Amino acid sequence: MTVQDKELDNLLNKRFFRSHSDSFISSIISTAAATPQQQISEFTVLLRTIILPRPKVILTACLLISFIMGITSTQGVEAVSIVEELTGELISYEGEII
Amino acid sequence: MSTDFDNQNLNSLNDNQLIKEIKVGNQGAFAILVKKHASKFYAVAFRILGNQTDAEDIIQDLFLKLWKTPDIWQEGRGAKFSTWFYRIITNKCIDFQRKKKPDQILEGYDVVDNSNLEEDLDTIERKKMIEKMLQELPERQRIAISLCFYEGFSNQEAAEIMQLNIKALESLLMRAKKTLKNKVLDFDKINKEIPV
Repeated sequence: MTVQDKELDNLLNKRFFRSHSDSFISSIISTAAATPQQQISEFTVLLRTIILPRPKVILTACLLISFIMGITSTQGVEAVSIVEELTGELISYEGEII
Repeated sequence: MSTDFDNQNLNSLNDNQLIKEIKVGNQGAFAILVKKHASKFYAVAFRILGNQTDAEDIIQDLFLKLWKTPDIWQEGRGAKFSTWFYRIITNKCIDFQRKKKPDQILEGYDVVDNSNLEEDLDTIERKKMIEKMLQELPERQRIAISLCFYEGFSNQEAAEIMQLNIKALESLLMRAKKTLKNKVLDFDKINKEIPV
């Protein structure tokens, strides 16, 4: 281990932290107190349990459909980017589809 | 609507039990869950975003979503509540950053490590420099470093949060440290070349 490695480890192990505002926690609690709870729909449950864990399946299915439909290469590239974006959203939004 | 728990009893409940209470509308249980985790969750969001307001907004938003629809948490999916929530936080922060291009760097830190009270100014400046360099890393490397070094998660826990296997996490950490090391060397080299 070189001197630089040691220094880096040392610096990374020192904690810097900016604390949150004083009202942060009380604000969450009071806002929640004024917010009614909701029941999630059957559709959302279905979405979460079947579709969300399988983004690659969705992507493959979309590409297959695009291929079967015989869309042009330009449209194909566009379709792929749209599907990638949508899939990325699905992956990123675990807990978001409510 | 809530069950028979009073606040004293609620304090003894674990996260899963608290969420069961939240599912029946127990605001006391929600308050305890928030008090227990909010600061730690905020710290991770702040580390990723580098902005206090954005970090607070995201944590508040996610907690409110949990309150409104607590059914989004499914016990028995293999992860602890906190691991699952950290995962959502990191994903949400990544999405947020992608939509709002990072235009700010971390500023104005408070040093919280009490063992460092006697540190000289130079060391403090170097820590700040590392923080700035961290913000320039690719987001997944930055998150890996943040979770493992700053938030004190084990590699296994960080891998679970980031939904990676441990080898992939270690690889991210190794690349991040290599990049940081090169940046520090470059910085030192430039500084040496500049006459005082």
